[in-house]
Amino acid sequence: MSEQFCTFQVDEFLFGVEVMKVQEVMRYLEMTKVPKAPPVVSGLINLRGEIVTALDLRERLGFPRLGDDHTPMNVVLRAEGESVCLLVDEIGDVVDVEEQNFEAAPETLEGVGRALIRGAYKLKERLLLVLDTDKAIDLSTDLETGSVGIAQRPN
Amino acid sequence: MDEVLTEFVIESHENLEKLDQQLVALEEDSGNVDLLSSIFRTIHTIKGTAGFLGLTKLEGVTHIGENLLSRLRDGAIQLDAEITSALLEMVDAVRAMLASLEADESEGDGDYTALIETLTRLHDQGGAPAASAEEALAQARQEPSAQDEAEEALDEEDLAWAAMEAKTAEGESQGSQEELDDEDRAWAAMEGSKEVEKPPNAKEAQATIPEAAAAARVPPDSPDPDSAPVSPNGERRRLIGQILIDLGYLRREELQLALQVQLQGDRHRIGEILVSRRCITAKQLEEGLRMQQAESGSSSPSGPQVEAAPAPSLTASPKAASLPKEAKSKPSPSTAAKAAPKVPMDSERVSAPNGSNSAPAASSTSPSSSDSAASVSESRVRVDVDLLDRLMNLVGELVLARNQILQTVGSYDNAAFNATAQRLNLITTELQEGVMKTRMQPIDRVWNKFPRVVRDLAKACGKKVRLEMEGNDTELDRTIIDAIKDPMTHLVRNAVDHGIEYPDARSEAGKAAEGCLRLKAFHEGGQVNIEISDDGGGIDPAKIRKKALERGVSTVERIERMNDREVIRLIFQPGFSTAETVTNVSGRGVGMDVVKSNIQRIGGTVDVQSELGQGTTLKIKIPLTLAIIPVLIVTSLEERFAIPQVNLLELVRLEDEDALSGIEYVHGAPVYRLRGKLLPLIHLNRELGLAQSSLQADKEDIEDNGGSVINIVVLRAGQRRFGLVVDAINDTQEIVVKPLGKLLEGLSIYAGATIMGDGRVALILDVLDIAMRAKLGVQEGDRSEDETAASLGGPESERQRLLVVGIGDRRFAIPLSTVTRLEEFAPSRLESAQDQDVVQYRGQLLPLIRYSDLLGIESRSEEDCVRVVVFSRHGHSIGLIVDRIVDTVEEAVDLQTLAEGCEGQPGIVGSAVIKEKVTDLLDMQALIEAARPSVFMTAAAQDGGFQGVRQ
Repeated sequence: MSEQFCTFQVDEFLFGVEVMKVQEVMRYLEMTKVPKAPPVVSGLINLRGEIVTALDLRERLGFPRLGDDHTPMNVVLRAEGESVCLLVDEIGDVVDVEEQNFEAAPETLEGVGRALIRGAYKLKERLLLVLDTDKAIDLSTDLETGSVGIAQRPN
Repeated sequence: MDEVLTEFVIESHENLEKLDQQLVALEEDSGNVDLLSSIFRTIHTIKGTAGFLGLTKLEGVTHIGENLLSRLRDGAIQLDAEITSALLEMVDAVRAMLASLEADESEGDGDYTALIETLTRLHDQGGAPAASAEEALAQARQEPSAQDEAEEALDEEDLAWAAMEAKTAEGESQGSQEELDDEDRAWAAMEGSKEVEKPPNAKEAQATIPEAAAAARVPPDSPDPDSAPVSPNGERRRLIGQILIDLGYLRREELQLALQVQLQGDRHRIGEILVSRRCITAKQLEEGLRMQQAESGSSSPSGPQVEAAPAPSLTASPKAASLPKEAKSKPSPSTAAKAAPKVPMDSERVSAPNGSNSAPAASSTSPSSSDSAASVSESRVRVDVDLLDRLMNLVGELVLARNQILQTVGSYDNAAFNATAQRLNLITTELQEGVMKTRMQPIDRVWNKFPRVVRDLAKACGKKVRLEMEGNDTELDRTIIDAIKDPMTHLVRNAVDHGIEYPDARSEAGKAAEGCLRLKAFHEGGQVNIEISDDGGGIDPAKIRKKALERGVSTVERIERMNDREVIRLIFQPGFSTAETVTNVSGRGVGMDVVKSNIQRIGGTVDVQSELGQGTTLKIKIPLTLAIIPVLIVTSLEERFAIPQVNLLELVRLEDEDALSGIEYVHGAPVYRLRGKLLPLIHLNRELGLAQSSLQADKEDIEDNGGSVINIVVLRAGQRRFGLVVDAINDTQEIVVKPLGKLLEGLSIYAGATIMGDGRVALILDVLDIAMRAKLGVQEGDRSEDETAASLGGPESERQRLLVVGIGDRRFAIPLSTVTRLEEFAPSRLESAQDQDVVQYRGQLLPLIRYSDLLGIESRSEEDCVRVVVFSRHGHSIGLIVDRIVDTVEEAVDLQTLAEGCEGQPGIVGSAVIKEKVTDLLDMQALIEAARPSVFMTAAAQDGGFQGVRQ
């Protein structure tokens, strides 16, 4: 049983989202800042007339912010009737993965990582971390504060 | 859900809405045949379709209801409160079943046996009913029928109905036979609605109706003119029998016998019977028929139409017949005749039991039952609201794209492109208006349930209340209609429950026992005004004071300082209710504050006026639409923000010196003196950011801005006013409001977002929320505003906003609501046309009035520009040249009308002291009439002219 994943890079990690959940992938779009919003909300973008909230995935996962010299890319997800945009560093390929290569997140994974990462597919070169999109875009999801809980790094 | 079922549910819902209203109206005007027929048809349609769809429960309830209605229609029983209640209950039952159908395609498990019993009891009460519904149905099944099984099943309903009808009528006639003089009976049968001419007593009248109906029902399938006492065009015709008697060919006894024969089932026409019985000759009959035709003046109306006529006209006759007893209901054969063409379906069905071959006719013609309804439905389509919303969004996008094109079009030197852009502009605007219109709905959508609400409530409270509605067709955007539904209902219930007194209390106070609740809606100044007034006991300020203290809504000192009007406004405070007893209707202390906040949420305002013993009026102002709103665009923190113009009062710009000294501090809270009153200030930057408001920070801010300019946007939030300090003020725009995504729902500081001309998103500020965040306390704010009102004028006098201008040494005040713009022109732009000063203004000629000339005062304009106050109505504008624009004020004007000798001053309605100076008040209507610029007069006169100064 194989499945397709849309991949993208955040910090040093390769993340993946089921292709069916992704509405589109776009270059950087101008954003309007939203004062008083939680820091994870980067701003609002005009996606062909629809106003879409952009979330900074780095902020969400607890990584340092992207440098000013680098503009993020947009991964637009369709969720519960409205679109939500995730800001990522780079867009990767669409990859086919085999179910047998999947492993749940290790027990040593804690905090935000445990909340947002469902597990990993063991690709040949590296690990593909599966993002739990529902939780990632649900700002009410209780994330434990503290250090980034991704204990294992790809070799 | 099945499409047929869906259609049925939607249609029935629509009909039911009407039904509530109609039933209540019928209770008032029980003789209204049109109304009764309409109700009957609605129920009949629901019943018929329910039967077709196999919804037995629904069919059962409506069936018995229909029978009751048909008895009412025949005048066998009179409508009273009990019957109305039962019928309303039936409507509720139908509604419940429809709701259940909508939810899970079942009729639900509601038990309606009690209701059915009640309806049956009421149905039977009016006299000996011939047959129960079941019997009638059974009889209908046995009815000889030439059709095949399938058709019979379809017609069953109609047959049952008809059989029912016939049985009832027969039973009725037998039951009352002894009481009736035979001659009178025959007479009645012949005469039908002519009965008025020979007024019988009420009892007789009642009995004669079914009799007459039975006689009229006799007409067989062939066209028969003599069975039509009323021709389709409403003319009354003498019946053939009467003509023959008048001619001396026939004795009344013979006619009576013939009628008996006909009643007993002979399906021949009365004329034929008479001929066959050798009472008259064929020639005599012919003569009589010719005479009848000549009298009617119509060229042989024949066919089903003619047959259709008698039954409705006869059903109308109870009203006519009972005239001598109840003088209030008018005899109206014309009403009967009018009703006749409308109900061919019902009357056709009447002929069903008389001949099986007429049954197919009844069923085949039933689709044409409502010609008018058919034509309406052909020119209308039902549209899914979601689709309309999507269209609205798309049009919004189009508007934005249009704006973008218009912004760039100037930089191209291409005539064709420019022209296309221009056309795009026009089309888009029209499209936008068109789509907006599709979303508009009359306020009646909310109001139509009020007659029922008021009736039920008044009954429950033991009060008498008459509901009057004005402006039912006032249109509002769908979203607003939805938003005002609950607040309106609450206010109406309140008025009935608390406002209007009990009948005996009213009589004691010298008022009519029946209270009056008035709803009024009208457009004014781009807003919709709704007024809910009752002539009840009014609100007692003393009671409110007492209650406010008990509930801790306010403090003793504060309440002591309040005037009555301020006190009454306390009812909008949370946790306030003065109902002596908590009823199940209202008085639980959640109420007016919720109403107020609901109305404020959609950008509206609500105010209350009350006079003890006289009544209470609630005034609501709401915007026409929420989808596209005019806003002011401001910049703060390098982002643009939109502020709805509903909240906008004025803009203040402080430059240089003023910027440094204009803002003062009350213990750290920044304020600005706006025309002598302290206006609390809020820094938008700080509200949006995290910086603390402090004296030091403010000073730094000003220095950061080069110490040059402070922009204050003066806003109104509910009853409060405050100034919002922003970095820059851009311009005003119409924007399409878009919701913020779910992720940002919790951010109440924003009312939504919009897409600007350049494609970027801008946030819309929620002014109320900003005021609340800044802790502009509700009570404090309300109070200070009210104090202003009190100091400016008594609580009773109406405040109005005035523009004060100077001409020569004198000052004039003009109601601000009539002023469109203030303009300045270079003197060189003034031209002359038809001996009239004009200036080219926005592609039109703007006629100018030199008021100084009219009054003969010397103009004293020092600057080299002409200041003009522009008034516009319906595309026509006129300008008034003034020397100075002094100020705008909001005051209660204590108008001193002029003595009679001073009529040489056109347009002045009186004088008042405004801001310590004597000021004349101008009535623009009168002024324009005096100056008579011909261009303007016609248009202004046609459109009802300017609104004068309220006195």
